[in-house]
Amino acid sequence: MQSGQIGTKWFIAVLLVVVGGLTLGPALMLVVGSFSQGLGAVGTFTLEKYARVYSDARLPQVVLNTVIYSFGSAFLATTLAVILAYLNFRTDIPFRGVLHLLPVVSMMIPHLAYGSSWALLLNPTNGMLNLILQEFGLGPINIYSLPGMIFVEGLLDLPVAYLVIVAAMASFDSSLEEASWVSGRSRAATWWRIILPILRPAILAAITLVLIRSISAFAIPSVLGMPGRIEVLTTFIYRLINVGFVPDYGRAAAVGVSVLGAAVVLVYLYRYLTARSERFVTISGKGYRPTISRLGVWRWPLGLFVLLLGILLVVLPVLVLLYTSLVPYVMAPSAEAFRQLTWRNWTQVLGDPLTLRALRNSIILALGGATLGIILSTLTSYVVVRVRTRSSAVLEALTFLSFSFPGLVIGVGFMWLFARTDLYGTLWALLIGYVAVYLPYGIRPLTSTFIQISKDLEDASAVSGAGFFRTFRKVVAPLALPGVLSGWTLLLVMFVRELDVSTVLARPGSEVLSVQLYRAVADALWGRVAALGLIMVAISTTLVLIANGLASRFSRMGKAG
Amino acid sequence: MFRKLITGLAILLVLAAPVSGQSADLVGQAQREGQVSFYANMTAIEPILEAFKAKYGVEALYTRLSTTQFAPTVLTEHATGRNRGSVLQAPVPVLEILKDAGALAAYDSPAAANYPEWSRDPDGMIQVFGIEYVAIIYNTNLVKPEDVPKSYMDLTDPKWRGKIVMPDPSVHATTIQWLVGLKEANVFGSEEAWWAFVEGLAANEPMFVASFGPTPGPISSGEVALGISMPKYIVTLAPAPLDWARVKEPLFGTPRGIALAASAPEPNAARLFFDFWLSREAQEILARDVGEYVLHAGVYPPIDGIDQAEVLPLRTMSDQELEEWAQEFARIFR
Amino acid sequence: MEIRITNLNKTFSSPDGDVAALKNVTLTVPANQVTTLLGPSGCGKTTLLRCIAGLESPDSGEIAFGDQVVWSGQGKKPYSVPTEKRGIGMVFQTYAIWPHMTVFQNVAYPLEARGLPRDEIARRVAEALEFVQLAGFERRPATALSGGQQQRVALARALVSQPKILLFDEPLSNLDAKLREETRRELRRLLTQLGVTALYVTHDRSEALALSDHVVVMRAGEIVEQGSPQEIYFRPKSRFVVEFLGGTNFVEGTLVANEGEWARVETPMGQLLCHGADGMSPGRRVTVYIRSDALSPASPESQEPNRFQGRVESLIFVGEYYDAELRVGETRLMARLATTHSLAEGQETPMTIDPAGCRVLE
Repeated sequence: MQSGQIGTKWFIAVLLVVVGGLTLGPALMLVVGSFSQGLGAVGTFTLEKYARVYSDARLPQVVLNTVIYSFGSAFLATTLAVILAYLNFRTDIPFRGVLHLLPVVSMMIPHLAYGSSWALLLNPTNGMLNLILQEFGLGPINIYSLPGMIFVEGLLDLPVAYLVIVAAMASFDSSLEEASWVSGRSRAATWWRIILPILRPAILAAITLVLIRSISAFAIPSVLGMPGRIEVLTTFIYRLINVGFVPDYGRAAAVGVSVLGAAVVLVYLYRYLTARSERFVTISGKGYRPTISRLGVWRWPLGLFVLLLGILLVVLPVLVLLYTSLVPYVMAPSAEAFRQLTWRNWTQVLGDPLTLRALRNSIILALGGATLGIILSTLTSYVVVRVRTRSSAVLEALTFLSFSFPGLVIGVGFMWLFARTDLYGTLWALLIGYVAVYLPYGIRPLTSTFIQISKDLEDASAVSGAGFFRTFRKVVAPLALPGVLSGWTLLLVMFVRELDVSTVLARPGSEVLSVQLYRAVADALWGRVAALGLIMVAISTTLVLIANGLASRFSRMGKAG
Repeated sequence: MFRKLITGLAILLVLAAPVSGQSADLVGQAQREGQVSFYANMTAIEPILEAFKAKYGVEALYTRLSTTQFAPTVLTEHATGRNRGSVLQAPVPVLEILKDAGALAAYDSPAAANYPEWSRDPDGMIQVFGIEYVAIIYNTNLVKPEDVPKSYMDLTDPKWRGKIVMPDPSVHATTIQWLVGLKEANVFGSEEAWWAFVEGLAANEPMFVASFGPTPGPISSGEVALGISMPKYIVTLAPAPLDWARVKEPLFGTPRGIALAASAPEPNAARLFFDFWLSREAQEILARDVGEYVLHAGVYPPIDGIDQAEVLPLRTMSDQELEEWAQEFARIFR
Repeated sequence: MEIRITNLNKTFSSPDGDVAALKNVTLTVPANQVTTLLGPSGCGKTTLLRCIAGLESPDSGEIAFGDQVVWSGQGKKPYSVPTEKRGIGMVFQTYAIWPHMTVFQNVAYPLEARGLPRDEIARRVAEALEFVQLAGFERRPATALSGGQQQRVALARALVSQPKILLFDEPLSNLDAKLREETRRELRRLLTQLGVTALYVTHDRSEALALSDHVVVMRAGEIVEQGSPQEIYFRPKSRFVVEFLGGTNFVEGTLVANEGEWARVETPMGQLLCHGADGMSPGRRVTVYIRSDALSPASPESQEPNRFQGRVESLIFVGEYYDAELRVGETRLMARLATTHSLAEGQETPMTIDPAGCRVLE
């Protein structure tokens, strides 16, 4: 980054202002709110909210549950993601193409619908899978339990981890792996000594993301945790603010402040563990050809394992959704149920002009937000990786800020903020809110990508007479394309089903699909929920497929000259 | 001269007293405003909005705000001068908070005449039009007619252990109010009997969900047999095998109210919509399509036996009071 | 265009403490010649190169290209011409060939950055590829080339914009030995032909000697010696340089006489006639370096100076010569002996040491 030092400084300053504005604004509103008397953002100073929150007798149990829940989910999601990414990218496992798409699809299913599907499958009374298990004298498995919650949350967060790790795996120089085999190491040892350590930035990025995600997740704790009476931080906060008719978001913010503290520790830990980033450089400029290793006798067993995972991840929940959307009310599958199949939910959903407007808005927001978000993420993570100064550390910490507040309250922070501007009630407010809250999802995969690109490639560009922006456009961005695509997909899919920000900021004219879905949930119209959920899956799939097609054409064009 | 004046006044009064329609003046002003924005915590009310538009040519823009979002949203808008909602529909406790904050405007609607005396706010700001009634809802395939509870107290029968669904009484405000309401109405005859009811219910280890929304699902799917839920789902989820238990005690619920926002962006269209909302036409749609219990004289939801039931509004509890009870129930039910 | 470096300092901070990579380095890289920065790894040669390229920022000092100062630590804020404005070409150790571009795109890049017209770019890229003998490879993806070819693409990219200064950061270290020697010869030819100022970093002494007009030896952030390859090889001044160039025979002794060009040193082997003691006064303790090719068996009747009786301890035939270990008294010497001698291990033999191959070191 020596070249154009002054330009770089300005660049970081601009980024700090943009990212800071996006994340500090609502967060500050919330922090002020947590010290304010009354219900609004600003009031007389008080510590009463902190006293009330931190004196709760259940807090220790809640913290313990949250730690088990979030670490369990992070471990499950990341482990599965590493295995899946490796099998799909580096081996001759059967049906690779399909398998690559599966994790992405599961991410598109709205969490409430996903959780409810699993409740239908594995509730201890008459869960469909439990009924089957009982035929074999097994079970029942109780999904309303901490392991059950970890299982579902882990599956839900697997795509996030998968996309982060795939970006790294795709640009992994296979000679590093081959060198280990040649040195007489077994495959297992190679995994342990070579692959995992080299993927460390990506793995840590995945774990960090899933940890923070699951700490702030509300859907699964509410759908599966409440019936099982397992309270985690988000449901604890929900209880704190929702008793009564006026939620006291200040209290939630008071809890959020310590989550923020935990997140800052995580960020520093992450930076410390990846401090010697040159150790993780795998795209060096000497050219690499990812090779496919043969699994031999393990090919089919592993293929079946991955297929099974795909079924668990996507096929079962989607089938349940499809079924739910076609029955008039929630019922166990039976001959009677199939006799009553109806298109009513679908015609009602598709015949509703409001839903159609929401559909349009959701697509605009997803495309616009993901594109804007990925541009900002690319610039930010580049600076975070390449410029290891104090201001870049501040920048990285900033990107985690809005993330650290539970989704239940961050939207309120935005409302308090936007209500003071002309953006209030517009689609722009939603767009800005989306980008700000989900920035870390764009930044994580890109950070691990940038760490892998040798700095020589950029230096060579500077020596060739290219300035900072030209280097960025012609060398850095194209090499980071896998990461960019991962991040974009991640953002797009999240935006299609975004609820936390939308539910607070959507107004007539700026309705989005997820808010329509949430209304159907409130009305117990699960058939409509399922239909809307499937529509969201369809939109995301289409958009992602188009983007992937464009990207692969783009990279082919680049190669052809 | 004096006679003439009296006659003129009388004519004016007749014209102003809206028997069925509206003063041409209000309709004209509303039409010039062109639209009215409506914040509501109820859903599935689109048919009313359509009927309104068909009748007056004024578009009603509907924003659904959940009960918990309602007050913060309106209060924030009120504080920053960016009012978006002209007409506000919410549970009465929420509207009372807004009223205390000065966010409501008074309006003496002629349409209120068809509602009981108690439903009118002495300050002329909040009009109660319905009750979010709570009842025991059961799965007709799973509960034999002779087993259907005949009193709330029957929920304490050990045979329902693990077969009841209800909103978490340590969180859900309406459920807290409902439980406390049973005590205050003294439906079991004594406070000791009420405590026995609460403890017996807790001993049956009900399945907790976040609100009423997720209660009918497990009942209709057979995951549980019955639950503390709402009769309106019998209408909205038909043909699900749901029915309500005709208990000997009255049914209770949070009163639903409607009000005009102070400094509403469309003040005239707001009044027009307010009047229309209270009309028999609109309330019949509410009762018929959404299964709501409304207070308009002679309008009932299409649920068998509901016109015979006694449905009473629950007293508004302060958030302080709610929280104390929430902690009490948290202790009992864990 | 010459490169003038004045009092350059650079310190890296690391978790284990600060490391001085450059200590007050002052150096003039002569114009239109090939200059090598030679030294073991960690001596600061790459840091110096990267400072010249503008990829690293020094702490203090000054760097100028001809009359133009490109970096100066004087003043409150350092003055720095950014890399892309320095008008240089550079070949990286890793080649840094962009994997997402074709050969043509890689080489055309510096010209595009300078905003040249399309046909001009095409012409000059073709020229450059011709020059490095890669004509016809334009459309190949850069990653589909062999190591040697990639190296030549990197070279073509570095010189396509006809920079006045070319920098090389150990460009041959990733090639196999045979290819390295070929490329070295070719590179020498190309650089002589181009007549640019080339600065070449390497830790390989034969590469440095073969390629350059001027060799600069560095050690621990400082310049130890500089001069033509011949000067460095035949008239080294320090034991470090000798050892780095592969010398192994060192004899401790006392200077007994200094007779103009020649000096006499009393050593455990006996008295040695040497050179290189200019200005030293007799009585001083010195180290004498004996080049291995200065030893030869002597005919019994010869009257040459530096005559000793030695014993052949070991004898290894390596093709063009014998690698022999000789012992004179207690002193062991490595000698490179012509194959015309018929010696055997264990044999006692008289031998002479050419005084031109005996050098007194400071």
